[in-house]
Amino acid sequence: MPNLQLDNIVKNYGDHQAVKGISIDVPAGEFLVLVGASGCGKSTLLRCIAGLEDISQGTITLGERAFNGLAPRERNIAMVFQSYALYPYLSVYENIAFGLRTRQFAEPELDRQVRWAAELLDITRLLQNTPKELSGGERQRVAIGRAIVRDADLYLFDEPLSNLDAKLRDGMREEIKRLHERLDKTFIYVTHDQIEAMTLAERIVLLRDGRIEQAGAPLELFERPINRYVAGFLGSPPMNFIEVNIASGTMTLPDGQQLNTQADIVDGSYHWGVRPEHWSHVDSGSDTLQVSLEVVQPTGSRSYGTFHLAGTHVIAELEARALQWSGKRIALTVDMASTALFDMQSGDRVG
Amino acid sequence: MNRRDTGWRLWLRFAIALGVTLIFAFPVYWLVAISFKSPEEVYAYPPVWFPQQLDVSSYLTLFRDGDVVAVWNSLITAGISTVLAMLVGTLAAYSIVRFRTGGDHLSIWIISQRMIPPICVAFPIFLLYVSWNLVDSYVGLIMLYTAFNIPYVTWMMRGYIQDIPIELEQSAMIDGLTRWQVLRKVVMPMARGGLFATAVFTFIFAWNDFIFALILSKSEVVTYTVKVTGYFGSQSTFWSKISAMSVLGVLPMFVVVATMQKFIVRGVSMGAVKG
Repeated sequence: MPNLQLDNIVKNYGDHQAVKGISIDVPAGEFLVLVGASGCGKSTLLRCIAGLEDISQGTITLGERAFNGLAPRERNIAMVFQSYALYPYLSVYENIAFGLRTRQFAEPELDRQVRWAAELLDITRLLQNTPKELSGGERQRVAIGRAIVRDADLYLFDEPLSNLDAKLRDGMREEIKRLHERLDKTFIYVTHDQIEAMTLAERIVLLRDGRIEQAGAPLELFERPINRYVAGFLGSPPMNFIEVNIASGTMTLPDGQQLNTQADIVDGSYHWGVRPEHWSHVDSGSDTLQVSLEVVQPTGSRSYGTFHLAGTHVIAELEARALQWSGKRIALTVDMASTALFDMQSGDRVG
Repeated sequence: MNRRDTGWRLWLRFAIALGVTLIFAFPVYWLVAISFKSPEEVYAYPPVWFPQQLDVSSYLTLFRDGDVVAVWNSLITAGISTVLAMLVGTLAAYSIVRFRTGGDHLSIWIISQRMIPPICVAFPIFLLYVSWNLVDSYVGLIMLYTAFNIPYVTWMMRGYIQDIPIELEQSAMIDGLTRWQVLRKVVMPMARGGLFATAVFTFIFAWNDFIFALILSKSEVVTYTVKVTGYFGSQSTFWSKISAMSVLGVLPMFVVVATMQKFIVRGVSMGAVKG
């Protein structure tokens, strides 16, 4: 199975540059997720790989084959679309068999393949139905079935779960992950949903304005974001950013409270990044702040408490019974080692 | 019809429906009736509402004199021009929609060709055809009908193709289809209703044409519309021949509309929603 290499891909639409020089190596069998806010170029990049868009500059190679100038059908790839793209005039069976018929598979082989895919996705009982008769989740399974039934070198997913409701999405996410493990093929998956990215990816490529912001394993991006954008993009609820002043190892918060910090930080103003889960309700004496909890939102297993440090709104993840502290002044300890400092101007991480 | 009408309301509704149907059906009945009447009955006053016996002599005359060839001529010219116009127009529409051929306004320009009153170009075309030796030929009429119908087909098919989600085509291309195969295996089935509806109207236009057929034919390729007018003589008018020929001319349309009714209704309403 071949590796995919993207080398300095540029895509222009008239004056607008949607993809601004992206290079990624995708080893065979990897589950790569392209994630970013809408308009970051992730779908464009995927469509360039599929051959649905021509690239303006750069090269795409799969193994020994250069993709530049190849029509989509010559690339031996399979793709799942957000809108499912099922043929309404064909049965589920024929929808899945479509690509095989095009490639002139013999009938017994074709039938075996279709039934194998249907079995895998648990849609065997739907084979004779038309797409119109299916629910959204079932349609998405058929769309995935149509992709996996073919022995492609590369499987592309363009926001495949975005049209499903939350509960179905959780289930399908798990199935897609399991599918990747069973098939052992290269998956490239585009999503705007950071949870999908975190849960599915072996490697995440986070895009912004047509450029790679950071690439790496999900936990690497989550725990060691290289800048404020990445830190804020991953995680839900998102990281809190608090404007602080540091002078000779002492950090002064907006409301005047002080904490000790690393000594090697240059004096000045920074954005201090604290994830909600880095707060805890213990009074350990050091690294502790006094805050007035304003609103507490229990979710069952955990609660989210909000407070203000002067003008800055902060969310902290607390234990389930935190509701009783609502409106009270409590002590919260910060896990200082896990927090991050970002440069005020560039947003780059400095500590 | 989801309201349940009872008593007099139902009867009123039924009576009105019957009345309207009669108004529309009567001319057709009268046409067919005359064609089966004997000459005396045609001119009888007060009129004979129901012919006493079916007199098929008008039809026999048409067949004996070879006048029915006119219907055949109409079939050939309308049929072939419909096929050609559908082919060219559909491809043009696909190109406009998917490749943005001609930018945003080409389709408007194309449909504007259809807005010219035919009579304006009839005589220039006649002169052109004289020099090309196309007067009174199948090729001449077929070319003309095709040219006149391409804008209509392009405009209609453009709407139907726009309604096809582009992902269906892209998915097919990734699955291994060429552009031409996509047209045949995705676009055609998806636009089937629109294709049939457009073809029927294209056919009707060519079938009903009178002005071009009159100007561009002499004796060889005479269509049924022109043939009918030939029976209005200065001395006498052959009503039974006129009606028999008209019935023969209506018959193919009747068959087409009856068999394609489902597509026509759907196609027309689809076009109505989306321009």
